[in-house]
Order: sequence, then structure tokens, then C-alpha cells
Amino acid sequence: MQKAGNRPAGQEIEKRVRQSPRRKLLIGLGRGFGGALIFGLPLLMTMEMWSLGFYMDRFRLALLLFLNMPLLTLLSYHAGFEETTCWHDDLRDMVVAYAIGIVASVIVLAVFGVVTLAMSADEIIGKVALQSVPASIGALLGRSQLGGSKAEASQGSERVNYASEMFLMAVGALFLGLNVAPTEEMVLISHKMTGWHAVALIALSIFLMHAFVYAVEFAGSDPSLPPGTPWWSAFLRFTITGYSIALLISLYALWTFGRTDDVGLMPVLISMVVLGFPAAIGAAAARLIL
Amino acid sequence: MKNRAARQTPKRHGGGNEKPHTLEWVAGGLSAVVVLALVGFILYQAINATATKPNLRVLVEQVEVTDNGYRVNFRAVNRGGATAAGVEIEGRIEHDGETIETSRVTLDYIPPHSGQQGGLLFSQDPKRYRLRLAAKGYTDP
Repeated sequence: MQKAGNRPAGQEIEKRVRQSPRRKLLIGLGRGFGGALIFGLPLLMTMEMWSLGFYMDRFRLALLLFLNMPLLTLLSYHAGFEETTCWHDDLRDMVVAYAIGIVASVIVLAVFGVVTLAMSADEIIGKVALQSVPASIGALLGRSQLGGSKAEASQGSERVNYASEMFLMAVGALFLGLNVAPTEEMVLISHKMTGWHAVALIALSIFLMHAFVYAVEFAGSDPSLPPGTPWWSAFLRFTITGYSIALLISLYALWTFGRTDDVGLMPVLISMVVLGFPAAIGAAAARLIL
Repeated sequence: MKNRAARQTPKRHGGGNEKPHTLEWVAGGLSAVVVLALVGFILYQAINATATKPNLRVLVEQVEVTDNGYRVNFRAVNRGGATAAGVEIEGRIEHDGETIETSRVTLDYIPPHSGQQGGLLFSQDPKRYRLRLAAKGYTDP
């Protein structure tokens, strides 16, 4: 749908690409590395991510690395290196994206001198493994970000379509949320806020999300929100659901980075709301930015 | 309500998306409950929050022997309703009322009703003398 405007150029490129499978592969890998850098660089240059690499709980790191696999596979289904027709294509893309993420992280961390041979294996592996998660997501999104096409919800049954809309929202929440989640500022901001600030931030997050949902609706690109849908229907089915997803992802990220350990309920909830703000914007903008 | 929503929605050619699936309403309803509960809880806390200050306490958890001395593992707890930043923890070993050794450490943050663990290093065995741990000061974040 989005490609309708530049179809001739796109077709030409497609044709040229189809002539040489090796060239196509190289372009795909190049876009993967590009995407890994675009998404991964802010985190590769974040101090907290380096230290988290060696001090974060090993079980939580392993869980994050494991959960990244189904995430990448599903993401490949929605926006992979190429049109995938069956699930083992998606699995292959997942492995390739993970590999690109690891290689890109090793190269960049080594060039920065953040990872050196003098360090223990545990530290090197921890740093690279943690960075490979955002970098691999970036590698998979590289195609949609750099290749001109977009991630789209699957056009299956309504149930599948809705679930995949929600999945794209979750990816959007990760996209913006992960970039700020490991920083000290998340905790610092939540310490500066009172309960009233938190409630105001929740209202602001939901308002902005709904504005984005409406932007999509006006664009008319989404079959789940045809013109004439009452506002409360879109609000309940997309805005509020999307916001809960953003909050859950924020909570998971905070827990993974050890920001909830030995912390009272109220500070945890407020930092969840703080991180939920960028995550909510990411979730709402998912269909615009992915 | 559901039927009315469906009727208001114009039919799309071959889309099959005219009527939101029940799952969408279930997900939306559950999410609304979660968000309302969150807002309710935070509002409740905000209304009942009195202007309290951090209330710090330092608890000794364990004394260990290390390669070149002793380590006192402690947990600093903030029972107050406000966050303490830059909390300075001081540990003293006393013998007959005189301080033999002092160690200090600064904790970045202790949120309200939360704890933070750390360690103080000594060259003398704290178990043989009197060990005192105390929070010496903090700033508002």
C-alpha cells in the first residue's frame, strides 16, 4: 500500500536485485548491519549498558536472550529481510539477525575499547550478549527502515490481525523504551516525581497515544479502524490496550535491568509510568515508524 | 453496544474486519481495569502521602573474612516516604569507647520503603570489637 507511489523505481530495483542472488544477499546483510547500528548505537554508547553487561543477574540476561528469539521470529514474519513464506524462513532470518547483532556489537564495543582482551570472558560475553538484543532487533527492522517497505499487521483472520497489531505495538514500545530503560535517568526522574506527577504523566501518555491512534485512523491505512469507528471503540481496543502493553514492557525492562530489586511498590510503579511514557509513544507510533 | 458499533462501521470490500472480535473487547476491558487500578493506587498514595522525610536505618547482615581484611555486608533501609540520594554510610569499629577504624561508602539512591545493599571493608576484625554502622547524611534527589 505504502509503496504505491514509488512503484516503478521499486520494481526496477527489485528486477535488478533478482538478477543476482549474491547481490541481493549482500544488500540484505548491509541493511541488517545498518539497522543494527541505527537501533543499537544509542545503547552501544550508553555507559549503563556496559556495566549492566557484567553485573546484571545472569538468569535475567539469559531470559532476555531467550525471549529475543521468538520476538525476532515474529518480527521477521511481519518485516523480515525478505518476504517469508514459511516459518523456517522466519527462523533463519531470526538466526541471521541475531548473528548480525552480535557481530555489530563486538565490532563497535571493540573499537570503543569497551571490550578488550584483558577482560574476563564473563564480562566480554555479558556486554556483547546484552547489546546483541537491541542490535538484532535493529538488524531485522533494517529492511523495513532502510528498504522502503513497512512492517504490516498480518492480513489473516480478525483475531490474528488484532494480535499482530498488538505485537507491532509491543515492538514499537521496545523500540523507544529500550533506548532509555537502562539509564540512571529513569530512576532519577521517578525520584523527582510525586504521585500527582505520575497521574499527570499517565494522562499525557494516554492522550498522546490516542492522538497517534487517530492519526493512523485518519490516514485510513488500517482496516481495523475503518472510518466511522466511534472514538471509545478505538480508545478501548487500541489506546488503552496499547498503553497496558507499554507499561508491561516497561516493567519487564526495569526488572531485567535490576531496577526493581528491593524497591518499594510505589517507586516501582512510578518508574514504570516514567518508562511507560516513551514506550507508549513508541507503541502508538509503531504503525507509523516501523 | 457491540452490535451498534458493528453497524456504525461501514463494510469494507472483502476485508472481513467489519466487527471487532470479542477478544479485542476482552483485551480492552482487562487493560482498562489495569490502568484504572494503577491510577487509583497512585492517587490513593498521593492523597495519603504526608510530607515525610527519609527515615534511614543501617542493618548489618554478615561479616566475612576477605583476602586482605574483613567485609561487613549491610543493608540500608529507608522507611520514610521520600527518596534519599547520596546516602553516606559510615562504619566504625570501637574498642573501649575509642574508634579504632572507620570506613565509609556512599549509596546513590534509596527510594521510599526500599533497601539498598552494600559492603564496608575493614582491616581489623569487627567481630572482636564493637561495630557501629550509621547513615550520616543524604540529599534530596
